[in-house]
Amino acid sequence: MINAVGREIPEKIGDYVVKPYTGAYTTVPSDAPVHTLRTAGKHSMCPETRKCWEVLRKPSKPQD
Amino acid sequence: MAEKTIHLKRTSLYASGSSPVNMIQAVFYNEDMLIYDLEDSVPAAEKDAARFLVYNMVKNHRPKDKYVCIRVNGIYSEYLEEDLQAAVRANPDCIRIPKVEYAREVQDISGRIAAIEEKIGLEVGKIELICNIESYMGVINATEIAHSDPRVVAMAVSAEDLTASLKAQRTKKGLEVFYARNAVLMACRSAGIDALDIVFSDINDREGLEEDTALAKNLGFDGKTCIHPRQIDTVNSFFTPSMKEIKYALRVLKAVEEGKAQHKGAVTLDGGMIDKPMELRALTTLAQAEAAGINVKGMVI
Amino acid sequence: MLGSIEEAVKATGLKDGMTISFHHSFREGDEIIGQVLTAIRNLGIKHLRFAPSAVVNIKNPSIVDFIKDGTIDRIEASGIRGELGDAVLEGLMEKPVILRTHGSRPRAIEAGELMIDVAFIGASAADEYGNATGQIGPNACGSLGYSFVDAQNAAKVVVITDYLVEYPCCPASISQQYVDYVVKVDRIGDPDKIGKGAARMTKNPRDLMIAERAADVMAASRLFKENFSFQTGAGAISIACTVYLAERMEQRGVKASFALGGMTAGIVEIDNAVYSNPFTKGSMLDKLNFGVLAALEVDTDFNVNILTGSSGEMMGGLGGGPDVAAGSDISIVCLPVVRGRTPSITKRVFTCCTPGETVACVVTEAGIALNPKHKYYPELKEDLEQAGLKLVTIEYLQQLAESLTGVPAPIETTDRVVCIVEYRDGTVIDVIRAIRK
Repeated sequence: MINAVGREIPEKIGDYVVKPYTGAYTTVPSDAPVHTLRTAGKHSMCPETRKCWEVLRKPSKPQD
Repeated sequence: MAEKTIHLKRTSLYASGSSPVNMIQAVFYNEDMLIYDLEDSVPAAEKDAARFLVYNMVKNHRPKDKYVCIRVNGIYSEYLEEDLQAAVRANPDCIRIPKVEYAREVQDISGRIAAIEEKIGLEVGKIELICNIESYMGVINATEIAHSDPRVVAMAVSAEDLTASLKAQRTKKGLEVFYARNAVLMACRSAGIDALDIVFSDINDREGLEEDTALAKNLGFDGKTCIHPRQIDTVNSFFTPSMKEIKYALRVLKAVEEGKAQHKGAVTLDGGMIDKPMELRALTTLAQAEAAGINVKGMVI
Repeated sequence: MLGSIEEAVKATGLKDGMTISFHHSFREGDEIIGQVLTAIRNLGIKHLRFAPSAVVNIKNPSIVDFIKDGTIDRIEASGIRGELGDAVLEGLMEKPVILRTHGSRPRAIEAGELMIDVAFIGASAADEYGNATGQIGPNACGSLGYSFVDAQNAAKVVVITDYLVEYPCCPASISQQYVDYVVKVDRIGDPDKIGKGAARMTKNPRDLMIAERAADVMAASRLFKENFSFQTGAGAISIACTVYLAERMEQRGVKASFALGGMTAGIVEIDNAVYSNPFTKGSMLDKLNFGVLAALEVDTDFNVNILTGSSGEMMGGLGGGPDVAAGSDISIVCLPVVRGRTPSITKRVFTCCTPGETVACVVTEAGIALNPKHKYYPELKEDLEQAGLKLVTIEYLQQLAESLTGVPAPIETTDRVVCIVEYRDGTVIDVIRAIRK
């Protein structure tokens, strides 16, 4: 198929989904949620096998 | 009224016939005169290739808004005859002759050019000549060279070979060639032709270039040869006429016009006669003004 | 904090077929990619998708070797060059390479088109918790902005540094909350080749002339007024253009509101996703008045090629050009009409990267051509003519170029697609096919 700048592009390229270019200003910004592989929750800040800074292990002391 | 077209010569730039890239790029800068070179910038082994390239360049890809020149090899060199055959056929505005020392050399070359022009059906005498003065003999004979032939429209001083022939030391200030510059300038004035000043070789010294160009302009030169494109705009700017010069030029031309309308043989201005060279000067001044972007039409004199 | 890259790779749980990413801030001096890929190969992990943030330019070890032994079988980048580029054009990879602009990569990551399993972020300084920066340390590279989106969206993030600092690492471009593992190695890069800092201005008179002309175009436009914004790339002409523009700003007493340079100029560290992603509300690029771009080739429809050279070889990268062109009011493409024996203005570019409708103006040493199909054509034409700038048609430039060099023979390709060129929105603007031998 021919896209909007006159280039010949195949309809299918392996398992890649081909969306032909339709113009520089034609696509509407998407409100779709952001996909991330990042998981919420604790991330290793203090690997068990290594030391943690001593100052963070102790509970904070009240200011004198 | 001069029938000749005014060709400004404020700046000249050489493009070596052995460098196609430089020849192509040279047309895009603002130099008035573009010289396609067959002489010093072309090694001996490449002389014929350069001749072929330059011929094609000038014949088929000639820049429209420049005064196009071909510098041929020296008068006594083995290449000159073929250079002339190719150069004339390419039909440039002008042929630039290096190392001229005697009037007869110019006359000889002019004759040879005429023979070729006739042979190929070009208008005889149309191709102009510029003589490069590069030796003490050329300086001594400058006046006779300037008057040697109607084709000669300018002379240029070339400092490098000149200092060698003088056994002098080339310095930035250029005192060692100061007399030579003036001598050639005076010879040009006596013949009513243009005088072109030496190259300023330090391309990184912008201030030095400005000083030297200011001097050239003050001495009376009509232009200066550039060794690098980045010098061109600076040098052009110095050869922009002042308002005083522009207005004077307009008055000269007005007087000439009035003289023609009244069928006067001789025209005067401010008590002095206006001759052909003065008229040409005036036209050149206006051309320089226009090239610098000054609008002279409708100017109040 | 882990003891070696191999340990970190194991800890991330990297498996066959996953996707790994790197950033390109160390350019040719990068030594992380090589170390990581070697560790991965030693662990026998294969068929990975390799997704660096820009052009891959490392010579040793060569990525081609990792493709040949099966460690990598997919690439998504902004450009591929040299040995890798040639190999891809010959059909080395089964699956086509996907090329995206700098602005489109974050979009693709956030839209889920490119899901990164492990992001390896080289930092010139980091602390044990993973706060990392590129601004201090013996191999400082400047901005890490291109890796923010990776840090925020990858399943696992590994920071690799050769300069461990005491907690907390200040300044920190990457915050520890995004980092899973930190590894210290002996060297992350070759300082001589990292090339951060001032890029040099060209001395070529032709390029200076083009740069000055582009500055004249901007200064003549009605948008050249107080608080205008502009961006230039990091190339030689672009930098010269900035200098000429500054002269005109001083002459006219005009100040700019912001200027974005190529990342080598990186004064302000910007999160790449906020910067040019077309779909982020308030994307910085959409407030750009002027953009100055380089190009390998432009055609008479003003389409721009910044990827393939005169024989079809891969030499550039998409960079941010298409983003800047679309996001700026007046986009200016600067290039000489010919380069050596190759015309740069042609009837049809070999690879279309930036569509003509986003290009307002082409500036060459032979003249300025305006795009009649650009949205600001009437205003720009009026402004430039009023300023006395001489305009020519793009066809004139194309004919001039071809009269100087001749028309090159067309490059022959097979039907096999080796590269997919995506536009900012993820659509396919062009494909590159294998060169026929």
